[in-house]
Amino acid sequence: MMQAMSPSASAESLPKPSPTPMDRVRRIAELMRGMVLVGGTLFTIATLAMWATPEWIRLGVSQQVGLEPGSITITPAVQFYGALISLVPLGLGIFGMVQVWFLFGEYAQGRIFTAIASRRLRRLAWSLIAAAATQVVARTLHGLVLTMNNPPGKKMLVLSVSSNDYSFLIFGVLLLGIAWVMVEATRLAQENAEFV
Amino acid sequence: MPIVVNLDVMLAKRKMRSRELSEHIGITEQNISLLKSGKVRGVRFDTLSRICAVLQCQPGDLLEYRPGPEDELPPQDP
Repeated sequence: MMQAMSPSASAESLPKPSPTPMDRVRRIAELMRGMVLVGGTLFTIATLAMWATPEWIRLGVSQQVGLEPGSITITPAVQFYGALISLVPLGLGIFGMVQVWFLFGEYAQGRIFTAIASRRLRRLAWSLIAAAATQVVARTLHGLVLTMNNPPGKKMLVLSVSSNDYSFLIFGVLLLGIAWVMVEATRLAQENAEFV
Repeated sequence: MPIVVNLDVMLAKRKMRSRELSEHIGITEQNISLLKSGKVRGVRFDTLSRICAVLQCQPGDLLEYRPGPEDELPPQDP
């Protein structure tokens, strides 16, 4: 005697369809948007909070710049100028994260090979390349600001390039190359769409 | 474009609407419309074979070559 299966039981017994590449793209897109939202917010708050707290400047910024904590003089003017200088790489970082936000917004909607997505990727690439350069300049300026109230002979000019700067540059150029490849891919996709 | 698409003629002969054809062959009605008006870059063989199967016709019933002045071959040397 055959027993009729209930609809829920029959649905449960069916194997789940495996995720398609676009499903994975959408999941990663949502993850990336969440990460840039959280990361951008925390990065901004942390940068401004650091310059508002003299102890954090001694512990954090001075080491980044390459100065001994005891060799810097912190005044409200130093905090103000230091924060102002930090706004440049911070602004570039936020600009880059905004590009990531909109880029993955396009990807989440399935719009991968579009002129808009290519443009966002190119802007992200340029922001990384610019960030690599501005970080070097910002560290030098921070060194000058942190020692500007030191007595004559104790002011410091610091020039440093770190592996982080090189990584930003490499990654930025890599993304730029990928962005130009995507321009060609977009052209091919549009041409393909004109075939029925 | 020297290739003329006579899909609308075949649809009329078979008394079928574009929507019905699109449902049978699995492409959108919008693409059917673009194909009828010749505003596509090309047709895949897969699509062509499905249309022929549904409309019971040959590719030659759907596609026609009408050369224009720009399609004339250059004069050949004797």
